[in-house]
Amino acid sequence: MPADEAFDAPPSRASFMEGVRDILPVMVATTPFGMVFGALAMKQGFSVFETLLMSGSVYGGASQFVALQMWTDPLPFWTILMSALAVNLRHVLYSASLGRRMMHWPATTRYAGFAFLTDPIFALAVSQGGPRLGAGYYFGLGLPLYVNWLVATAIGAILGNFIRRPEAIGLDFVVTAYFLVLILGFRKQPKALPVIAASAAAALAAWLLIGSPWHFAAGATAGMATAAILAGGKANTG
Amino acid sequence: MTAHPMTVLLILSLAAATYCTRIAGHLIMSRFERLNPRVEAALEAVPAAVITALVAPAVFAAGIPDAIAAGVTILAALRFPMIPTLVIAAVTAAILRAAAGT
Repeated sequence: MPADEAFDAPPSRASFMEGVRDILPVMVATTPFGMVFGALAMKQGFSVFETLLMSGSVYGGASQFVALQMWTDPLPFWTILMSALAVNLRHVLYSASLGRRMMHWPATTRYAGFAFLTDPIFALAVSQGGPRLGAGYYFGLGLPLYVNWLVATAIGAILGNFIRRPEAIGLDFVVTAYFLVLILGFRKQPKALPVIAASAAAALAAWLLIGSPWHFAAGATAGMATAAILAGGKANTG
Repeated sequence: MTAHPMTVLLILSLAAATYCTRIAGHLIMSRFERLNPRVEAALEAVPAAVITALVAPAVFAAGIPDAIAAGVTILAALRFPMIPTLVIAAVTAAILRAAAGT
C-alpha cells in the first residue's frame, strides 16, 4: 500500500520507489516484447529513429504490433489508424475508472499521467493504489516501464536477429501468465467470479465469431453489465 | 537515422489517437458529480472484465498446450510470488509446445 495513499502528502521518494518495486516484474515480462517489436520494425524497413519514435509516442504494445503488421506500400493510412484505435479503445475504460482516483492531483499532472496509462499500469494502480491513488506511486510505476519499453525496443532494433523464435522458449506466454496472475488477484472483490466468467465467455465468443480486436469490447461490456445487474439486486436487499 | 514523411506522420497520428483514448474516459466521467450505483459497480468491474477479455483468447483459443500451461500458471500463482510463477509459466508453455510439436 503506497505511503501517500491515506493522506494528502506530496509525491514522495518512498512512494515512488514502491511503484518502482511493484513494476519490476512487469518490466521483466514486457522486455522481450519491446525487443521483438524493435526487431520486427527494422525488418519492416523502419529506421532506428522511426522505430523508437513509435515506441516512445504511441507506447502501446498491442497497437504497435497491429500497425506494424498492416504497414505495406502504399501505406493504408486510415485502415492502420482505425485498427490501432480499436485495439486501444480499452484505454477509454481505464481512464474512466482511474481518473476518479486522480481527482486530487493537479490537472497537468493528471494529463501527463494518462500518457503512461497501459494495461499493467492500470491493473497495478487500481489493485495496489487504493481509491486515492498517490501520484508518486503512479509515476513510480509509469516512468520505469516507459523507459524500459524504449530501451527494449532499441536493443531489439540493434540485436534483432538474436530473437528468432521467442515462442519456442515460452517468452510470449509470460504476458498471458502475467495477466492471469492479475485476474487471480481480483478474486477477493465482491462479484468478481461472475464478472470474470461473463467477460471470458463473451470475449471468447467474439474472438471466434468476429475476430480481434472486438473481443475486448465484448468481454468488457459483458463483465460490466454483469456487475451492474448484480449491484442492482444488492441495492434492493440493502 | 532516416525518416519518411508519411511514416512519421502516421506514427504521430497513431500517438495522438492513442493519447485521446487515454484521456477520453476521464473527460466523459468527470462531467458527472455522483454516479448511479449500477454505473459505479460497472466501473469497479472494469479491471477484471477488461483484463479477462484481453487474455481469454490466449488461454482458450491458442491450442491445448497453452490452455494447460494457463491452468498450471493459475495453480502456481496460488502458491508462489509473481516472478517464480512467470518462470514456471514460460517453462511449462515451452515444454508442452515442444511436446505437441508446435
